[in-house]
Amino acid sequence: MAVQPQRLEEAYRPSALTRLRSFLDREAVFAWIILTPALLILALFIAYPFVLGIWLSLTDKRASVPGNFIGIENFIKDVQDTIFQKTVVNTFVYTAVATVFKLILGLALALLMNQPFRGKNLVRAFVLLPWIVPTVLSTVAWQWMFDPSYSVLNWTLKNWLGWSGAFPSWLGDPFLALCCVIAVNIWRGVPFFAISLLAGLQTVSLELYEASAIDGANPAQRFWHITLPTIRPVLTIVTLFSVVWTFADFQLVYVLTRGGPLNSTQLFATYAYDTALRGGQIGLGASIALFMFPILAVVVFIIQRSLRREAH
Amino acid sequence: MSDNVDMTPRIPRRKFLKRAGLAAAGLTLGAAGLAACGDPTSTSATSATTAASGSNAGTTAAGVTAAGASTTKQFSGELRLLQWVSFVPAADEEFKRQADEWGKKNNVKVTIEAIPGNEVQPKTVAAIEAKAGPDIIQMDYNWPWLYETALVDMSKEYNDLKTKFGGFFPFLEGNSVVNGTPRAIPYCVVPGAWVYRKSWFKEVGADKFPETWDQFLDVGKKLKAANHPMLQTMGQTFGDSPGMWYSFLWEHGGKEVMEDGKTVAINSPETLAAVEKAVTIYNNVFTPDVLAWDDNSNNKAFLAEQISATLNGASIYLTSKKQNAPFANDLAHAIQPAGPQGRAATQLNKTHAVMGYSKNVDAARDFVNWIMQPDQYNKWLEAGGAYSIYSLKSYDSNPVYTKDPNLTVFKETIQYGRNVGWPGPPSQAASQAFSKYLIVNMFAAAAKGKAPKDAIADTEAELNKIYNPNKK
Repeated sequence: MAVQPQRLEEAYRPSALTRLRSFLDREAVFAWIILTPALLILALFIAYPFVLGIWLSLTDKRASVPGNFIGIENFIKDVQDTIFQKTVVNTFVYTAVATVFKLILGLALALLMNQPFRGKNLVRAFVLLPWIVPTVLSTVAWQWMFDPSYSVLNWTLKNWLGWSGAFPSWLGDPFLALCCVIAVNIWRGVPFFAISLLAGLQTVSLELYEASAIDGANPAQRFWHITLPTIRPVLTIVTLFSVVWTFADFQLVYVLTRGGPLNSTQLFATYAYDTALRGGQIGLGASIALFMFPILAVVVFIIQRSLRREAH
Repeated sequence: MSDNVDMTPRIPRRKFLKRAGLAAAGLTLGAAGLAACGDPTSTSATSATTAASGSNAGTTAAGVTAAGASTTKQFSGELRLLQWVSFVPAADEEFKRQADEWGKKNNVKVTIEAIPGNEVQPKTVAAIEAKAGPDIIQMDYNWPWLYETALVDMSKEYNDLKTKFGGFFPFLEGNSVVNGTPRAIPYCVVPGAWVYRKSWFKEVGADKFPETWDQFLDVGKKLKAANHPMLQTMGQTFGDSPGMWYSFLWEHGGKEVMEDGKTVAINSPETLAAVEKAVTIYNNVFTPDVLAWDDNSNNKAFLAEQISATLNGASIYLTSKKQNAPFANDLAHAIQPAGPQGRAATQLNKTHAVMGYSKNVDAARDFVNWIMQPDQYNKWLEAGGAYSIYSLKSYDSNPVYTKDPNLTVFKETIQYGRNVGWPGPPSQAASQAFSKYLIVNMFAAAAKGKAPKDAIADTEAELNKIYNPNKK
């Protein structure tokens, strides 16, 4: 008689597999399991280089010789460096001007493409081209367009617009060179804005437009009170990405001007590259690159907050 | 959207994110700890090993070469060599052919990796830091000084070649022998000379190329008015720009630093005279495009018949001859005009360094030595058509330098060769000033309207930070 309950217990004791299953079924465990691969990738490819970057920026490491810890000396040197000061200004101007133009032009293009017209899909595909073509390739093409000897721009000025006298030296003048790199950045970035915002525009409910039309709202009012608020989250995210990419841009400037003339197009990334890899001052170069981090962190934080407020 | 709906009831999103965040933070801190504790020691440990293996390899290689003089050497594996794409493809092809020949003979697979000149240095630093990459790097200027500890001691080969072939030119010696130890084998010099259009010069009444910078200014004004300007880059680029502006500074008696390599000496009446002269030349002889030019631009502009003269290697001349350009016979070369202090030249030189991290050091040393031997070296010089000047004096007899009277001038320029940072030693600091384009930009800033005095003062401040980093 006394044996039976024991047997029952035995019979109902869950098998190892079932126990494992129930263990895995626990939220805390399962969450960790599915998170682990991503965390490992993050740690390996983002956290490690980032931490190494921070460490290097605190040393006087040079190419081929180990560095010593020197605290924040590199950062102090950066701030006192006139080329660095110029780089900071350049980067802000580059990012601000390019982003504003990309936003305006991208929105205009998105609104245009959102209208029904023949060959709409084809146009949408073509608009993406500048974004798809590898930056280095398209920038080399731009370099030819700005080239003083072969410039199609100067040719147009001369033959179509009747320009006489000295041609502008597109990449030779510090101010024009900055304008040129900004222009190419806008050209490359507009498709990203246009296509993303187009996706946003397509989520706007037609009923809202109809209702507002019945209430007598004109197109401008409809844009301001319906379109813009609806696509605002997309707009914010797209702008955030663009700011980050533009701020940390490298390829375009490096191909087009190598930071010159007179460092007038030097950005954080190009100056860090020049300092660390050409000048061999790896620690100092790392500190220049790291200066981007707090600035970008602030940008991300501000936009995240505004997004969250939006969500509430 | 659907993901959120599925997820919310099981794990609240906030909780999920919190966990994920904590996990990420934990891992990051772990990595930080690891990097902070482990890295410096491991770095120094590895570099110590590299240095040790470098010197071991050095002695072994020396042994092998000494013993191997009579027997055949046994190599295997692979060799990678990094170099620039020179402006004379025929020479690059010959180099590759020689590499294949040596490879076949020695059972080694040799790969020549040729990239644009501006990219060689970043790649070199990346390879040194990763301790992996090309076994041999063809370096420019004074790079052996910058990467001394990463390079194999080449004393054996260097001294052999030196005794056998009449010695290296002094400025090449200065660039390659670092603190008494040869760290690379000077391969060649790519000197600059002014290439010009004879007929266009005649049109403005100049029978030959100006001998001094004052004459240069006179003739240049006329050529600009005739819409055939003489141009030379003032841009941020590695070869032509320093080739012009360091030399220009020296020829006027200016210098960035004293012989001690510490006392910054840029702020002098001589520099002021040089900068003022450069501004006059920029305004009256050049066009603003020169500020954007890289090493390629003057080749393009000259071949497009847009300019009458530029300072360059022999590549413009060689290309126009090869392409049978209608103006090929109208070209001539001339030595750089002289300043009040005579002539001086920063010459682009190429030197082969064997990397300490290489797994095939012996083979690399043998190859670098082998290409300097007459059978190979003479062929390569000839393929280059006098574009490159020999580094070892006894190759002076190569017929390529006398065959074409238009090219003899390049050989003459060698005697004016100086190191970057002259009269100081070829140091790390000189290279930093070089890589920041400080001297070039001093001239460019003044050309763009900055008062010459201010441009010099700015440069002085930057040079001081480099040469005396600890002085406040």
